[in-house]
Amino acid sequence: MDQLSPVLDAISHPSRRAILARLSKGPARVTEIAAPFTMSLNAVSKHLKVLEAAGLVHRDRQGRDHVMELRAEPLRQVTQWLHPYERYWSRQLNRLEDHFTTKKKRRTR
Amino acid sequence: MTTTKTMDIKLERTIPAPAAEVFDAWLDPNTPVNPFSGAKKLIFDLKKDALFNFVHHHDGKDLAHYGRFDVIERPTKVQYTWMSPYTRGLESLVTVTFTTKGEDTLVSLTHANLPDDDYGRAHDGGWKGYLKKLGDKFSPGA
Repeated sequence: MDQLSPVLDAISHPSRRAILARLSKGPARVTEIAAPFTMSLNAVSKHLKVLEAAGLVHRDRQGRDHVMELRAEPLRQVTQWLHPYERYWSRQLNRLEDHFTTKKKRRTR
Repeated sequence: MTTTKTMDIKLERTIPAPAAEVFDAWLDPNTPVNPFSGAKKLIFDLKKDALFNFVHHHDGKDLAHYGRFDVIERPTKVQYTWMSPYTRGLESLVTVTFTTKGEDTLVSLTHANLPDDDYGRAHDGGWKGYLKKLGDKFSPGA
C-alpha cells in the first residue's frame, strides 16, 4: 500500500488539522488537546488514532498520561506528490509495472 | 548570491520480473516503459560518463532533456544526471536501484536536487492547480 494515502486521509478532516496545529506548538496530553474542542474526549481519541496510524503523531505513555507529539515528516510526502516529477516518475513506473504484469499473464496462459 | 532551494523525490514499486529484465527494460529506448522511449529525437549512449539527450513534445512544446550516466551496475543500480526546463539549469540526479525480492524486483527511484519552487512545480497546470485540487478534495462534502 502506498504511504501517501493514509497521510492525505488523516489531514482531510478539519479537526485533525486543528490537532496538528496544536501539536506544532509542542507535545500535549490527550486531555489538553481535547480541551478547546466541543466534541467528546472519545471523538478526539479517535482522531488521534487516525493521525497516529498515518505516522503524523507519536504517543508517549507516561503512566496514565498519554502525551502526543507531532511527527511532521510524513507531510513531506504531500509536497512530493505535488511535484511534477513525482507524477512523471509515477507514470513511468506504472508503465514498467503494466509491461511486466502483462508479460507475466501471457507466460502463465 | 541566491541559492535555489531543492528537494528530493523518492518512489518505490515492486515489479513482477527478475532484476536483470527490469533493469534492461528501464534503459532500453525500444521498450516503451522509460523516458528514452517515444522521444522525438534521441541521442543515447549507455556507457559510464557518456551522455544522453532526448526531446519530448508535450503541451505544444518541445522539452529537451540532457544527462550523463554516472553509474551503470547491471542489474542492481543505475545513476544519471538529469537536466530539463524544469530543473532550472540545475544538474539533478536520478538514482534507480533494483533489488530482488523473491520472484519480483523492488525498484527504488530517487530524483535528487530538484528545484523546490513554483517554476519547478509548473508542469501540467502547475502548483496552483494541484493546490486547488487538494483544497477541493478536503472541502466539506468532497
